[in-house]
Amino acid sequence: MRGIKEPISNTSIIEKRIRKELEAKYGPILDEVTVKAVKMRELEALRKVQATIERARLKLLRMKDMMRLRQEVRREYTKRLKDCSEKHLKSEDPRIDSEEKAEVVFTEVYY
Amino acid sequence: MSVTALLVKPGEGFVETPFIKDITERALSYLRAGFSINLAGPTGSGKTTLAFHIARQWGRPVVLIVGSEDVTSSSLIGGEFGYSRRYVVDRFISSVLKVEESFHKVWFDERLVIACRNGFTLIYDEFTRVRPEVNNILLPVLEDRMLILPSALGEGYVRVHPMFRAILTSNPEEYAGVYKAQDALLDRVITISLKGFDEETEIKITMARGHVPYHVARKIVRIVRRLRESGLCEYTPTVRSCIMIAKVISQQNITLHSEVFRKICFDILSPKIGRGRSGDINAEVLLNEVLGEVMNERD
Repeated sequence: MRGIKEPISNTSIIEKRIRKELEAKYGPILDEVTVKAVKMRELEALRKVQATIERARLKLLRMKDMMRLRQEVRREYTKRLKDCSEKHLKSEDPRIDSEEKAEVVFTEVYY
Repeated sequence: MSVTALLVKPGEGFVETPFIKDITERALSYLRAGFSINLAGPTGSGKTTLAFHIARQWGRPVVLIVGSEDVTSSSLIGGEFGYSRRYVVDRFISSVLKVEESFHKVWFDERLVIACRNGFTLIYDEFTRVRPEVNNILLPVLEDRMLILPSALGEGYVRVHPMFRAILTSNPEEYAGVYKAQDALLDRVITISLKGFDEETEIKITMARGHVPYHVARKIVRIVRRLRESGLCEYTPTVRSCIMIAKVISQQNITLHSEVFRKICFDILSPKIGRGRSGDINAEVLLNEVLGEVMNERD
């Protein structure tokens, strides 16, 4: 069943590319050990890049979470402030609860 | 800012005769019926003292306004004086800086508002010396029991306390620096016309305030009353003249038959006699005549 293509693995593509480069530089490579060593180094580098990307993704998620939380807190705070001022304004006479209400001082006088 | 309310008490010079009791009782019955009163009478008829006495009997603290050309609506109800500034730096979330700044005018209540709100008694002394349009503020207070306040926010209302009453005093005979009282205001109050005290009350007042014995006070009062009743004086001599004469002679230990007493009477009473209503009266002659009559009277 040679008609069915086997899935091309990343490894084989890299292997081919490395081999091509090396052959272009040094001529045909026959040493399997060298090929394997180069392949391993390339894989290691890839893993590192992958780990960096993963860390960045997690950081982004954390930031997003934090922003959402802050927004929620701010919304709650604004709502409570608004409730508070509404309650403060409720009065029959606008001056009745105001701090400008004059103080009454009593003095004894004789007529 | 504070407003002074008075707790009025009778002083040692205050006397309560049947005459004063009668007026006080009448006034209190009007106050109890929910009306405010106006004590109208000439100078020296005891309007202000009676107003204080009635207020004392009514039993509420007193707020006193003395009428003059300078009294304005703001002096009665208050006004917006100065500004108040509010500056808020909101650091509730450390990374968010929120600054709020607001200014608003500050309202201060004056005596009429304090009296209406707390149910104090307003004594508005000589209210006819105030421009009539200023007194318009009293009309809804006396009729609808509602004080209307102007405000930048719209109109504010103060419901008048059920115990609030106004005691106005006015002198219908005065001609300088007074305005005619508004019909609308007089229509809302009960006016008690005071014609001056009876002889017995004047004697008691002269005794209490002038610190003289009864027989001395009686002679002084008779001299002053005789002058008043003659109708010849340019200005009517009042019980104040009696108190002045009594105080001076009691301090100096002067007897009624001495020449000094005659001179004191002349100094105090001759400006009242002036040139007389007809313009041809000699004060000294008239006073000597009255003094002679009163001093020779048998007690």
